[in-house]
Amino acid sequence: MRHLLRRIAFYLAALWASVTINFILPRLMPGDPVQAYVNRLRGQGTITQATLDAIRLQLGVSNDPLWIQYFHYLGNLLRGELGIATSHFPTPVVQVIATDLPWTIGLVGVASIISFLLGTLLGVVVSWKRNSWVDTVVTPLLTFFSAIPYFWLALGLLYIFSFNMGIFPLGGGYDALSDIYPGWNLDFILSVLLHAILPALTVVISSISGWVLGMRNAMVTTLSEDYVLLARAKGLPERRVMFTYAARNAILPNITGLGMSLGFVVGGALLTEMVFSYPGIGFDLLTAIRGFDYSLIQGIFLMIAIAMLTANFLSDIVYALLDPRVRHERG
Amino acid sequence: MALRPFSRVKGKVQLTLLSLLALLVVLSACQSGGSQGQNPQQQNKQTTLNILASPAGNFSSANFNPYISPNAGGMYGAQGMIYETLIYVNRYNGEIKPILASDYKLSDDVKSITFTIRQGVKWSDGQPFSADDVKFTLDMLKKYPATDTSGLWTTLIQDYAQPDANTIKVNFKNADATATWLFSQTYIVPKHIWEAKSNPATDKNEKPVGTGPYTLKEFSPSAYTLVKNPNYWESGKPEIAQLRYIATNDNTAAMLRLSRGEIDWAGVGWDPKFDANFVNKDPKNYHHWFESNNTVMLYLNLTKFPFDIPEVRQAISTAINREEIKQKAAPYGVPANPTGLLPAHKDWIAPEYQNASFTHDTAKATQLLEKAGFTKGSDGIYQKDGKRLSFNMNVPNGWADWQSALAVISDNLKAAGIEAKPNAMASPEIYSNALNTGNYDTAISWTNKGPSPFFFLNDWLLSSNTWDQGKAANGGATNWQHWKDSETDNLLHQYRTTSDKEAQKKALYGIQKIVVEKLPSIPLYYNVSWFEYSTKNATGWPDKDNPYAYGSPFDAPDCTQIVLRLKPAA
Repeated sequence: MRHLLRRIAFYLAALWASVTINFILPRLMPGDPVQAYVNRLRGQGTITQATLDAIRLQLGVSNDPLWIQYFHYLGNLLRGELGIATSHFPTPVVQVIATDLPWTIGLVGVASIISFLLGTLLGVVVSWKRNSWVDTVVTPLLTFFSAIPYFWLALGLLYIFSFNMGIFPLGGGYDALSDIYPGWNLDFILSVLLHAILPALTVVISSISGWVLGMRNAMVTTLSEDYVLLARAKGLPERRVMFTYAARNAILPNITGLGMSLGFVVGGALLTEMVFSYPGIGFDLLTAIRGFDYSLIQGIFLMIAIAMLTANFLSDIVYALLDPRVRHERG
Repeated sequence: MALRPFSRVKGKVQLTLLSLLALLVVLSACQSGGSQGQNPQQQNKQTTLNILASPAGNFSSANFNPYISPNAGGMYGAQGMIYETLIYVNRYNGEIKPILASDYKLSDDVKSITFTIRQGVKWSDGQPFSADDVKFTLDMLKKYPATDTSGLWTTLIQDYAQPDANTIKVNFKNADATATWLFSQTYIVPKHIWEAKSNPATDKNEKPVGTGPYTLKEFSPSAYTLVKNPNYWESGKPEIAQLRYIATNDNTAAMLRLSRGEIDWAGVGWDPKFDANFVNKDPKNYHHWFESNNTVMLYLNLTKFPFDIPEVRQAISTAINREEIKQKAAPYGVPANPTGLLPAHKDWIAPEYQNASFTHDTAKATQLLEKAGFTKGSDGIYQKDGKRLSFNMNVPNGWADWQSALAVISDNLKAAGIEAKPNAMASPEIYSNALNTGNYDTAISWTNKGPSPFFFLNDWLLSSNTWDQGKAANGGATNWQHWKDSETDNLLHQYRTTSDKEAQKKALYGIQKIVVEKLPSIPLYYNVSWFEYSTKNATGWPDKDNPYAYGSPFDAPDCTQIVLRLKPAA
């Protein structure tokens, strides 16, 4: 319990720090959001200073001293107000994120978990059958796939399976070309699933080898431990030794890794979104940065920070469950 | 927490994999069934055009406010397809067509315009359209300056009067022959709906009610559909039942969809090597037409050495090989006429410049520099009073065609003893900020477009359109090179204050002479308007033989006039 409380205090402090950095960073970028917005309105005839000030107010860019802005910002955060996304004027940041986040979590989140599960399992098998053909073929092959630059792999698969063979659609979150509209109808759900297969496959292929190698190496170390030898000597079934004795101990680093990668999910997968024209947060972030959209940048960074901290917190809990030493703090 | 024995896990994995595979097969079956859903029967009933206006990511929200431009978060189609203007000025050839005004009359002294309001027009919710809606729109633009996107009240309108129920007379502050263009960009909104809006400048207007040929059917962030307005006033129009706007994230994805025949109308940046997957694949149906629509210039900061010396500007211009730029950087970029005027505006080009062209002559460039007192340094670069002829050329990073154009220019100028270094800037905003505040040496950039050459010349050369002392002109500078010349200003004024086309031509001839002789900036080549289309579902598109408009799907309201001419393919 004490361990948990200390972790919670730590995460709260980390949250405050990231929120503060989040406030400062965009303001260090060169450029002015109002000027950027006005540039986009070129041809608007004469814009007077009064109009510029009105736009400034509308966009929530104030000329107050930084520390006052900072407290305004904290106050707005607590009320859940993230401001208006100037790059999607006049849509509020919350709405922009809410529109695209489900796509990102659905695709990248699910693909990351599939990749973790498959990869970890494969790592266990490969280490158990070390130096067998599985090990000598699978490990280098996966390393080879993950060494291919992601966009190249994705474009290649898109070219072969979608463009040439026509098995999968060319991109998008669903078939926007026929009269299918988002909602809880079978057409839409099937269409979403079909459109997600290829992007998810690329995410899995490019990330799985990390899990396999991590698990394999941790397993190799664990397998030489005395308690594994003891378990075998006791005559326990091989599967039981493999999973409850070796894998349970070897999985800890991978759990940390999973926490990290789930945290990153919320940031979106920009390259996936680009290649497959998939809706998601990554592209929003790119347009926001290009257009000096401070509110949207801050909103997305905030989501990333919160997701990162939550995922790490969860992996801390799982850690404690898996490893009694952590629970009792007698490591 | 004990993990399961391997055998059961293995069984489960196999089962999962198998079911995934099964799902995949089922889905692909559904998919192929789905795409064949456009069976002939359905096609006869209604034609849907898939439109890819601009690869800029997902549509963020159903923002159909015609006073928020698509560059600023509005949706394509709100302008023109849903909301209409009083008159339409074709930005390709300047022709004027009455829309919500059945007639218009610009007074002879160009100090007022009189509109006759069209009878029998209905809003898409069935309410009648009347002069009250026009008056309401004008008042709204005055009350909320942020909606006044063409600057009607700040630059043009003094007041307006209503001599009778169906006539509105607008009086100008000063004589202004460009008024028709400003009104052709002013969308009329319904009083009975918009009077309830608290701030029309930021209202998203998610359920638009307009007089235009289309209304909103369904919106989603990946695509939205406009459907034919049954109340449309022009009988028998439009003949195309639905328009569907598609979101894409980038050009590559757009390209793939075009080559698969999924798109009927696009405005995507093109390269001749794409032809293999599009035009050459089905020459009967897939087409593109790239017409020059604005002039790319090398802007020189005239307040800086050495660009304040006319001979240096001439030398730079003479040293540039525009044919080489076309070959290596801009395959559709025809070298510009020395006046900078577009081929579409040939009627406006002075007789002596009709067939003029730039000549590439490195030797002449060096002579000009030597005449201006420059001497060649030991490094091969000219210098004067210890100052080397060396400068940066700004371009946004990633704008590949302009970056390769600058690479050619850099080589050309080096041969003439001028060191010009391409300077790729991190983002378009940083780049345009430098242009708007005069904080640069030189830069490659576009010029504005309009229905006559006056609009681009006025933006490019009028003194009050420039920046001053590091501050942008209000609304952003367009006279980026800082050209301040009273003769130019006078000639622009002459055009603006007369309705006599011959007098207007004479004024523009004078400006062309200044442009050619004094070179305020250096015209390079023409930017084209991107326009790719398919005749599978609809015919009647503008093309080389029938150039009635620039074809790009993003020029509003011109795109509406194109759709009104289209017919479903037989």
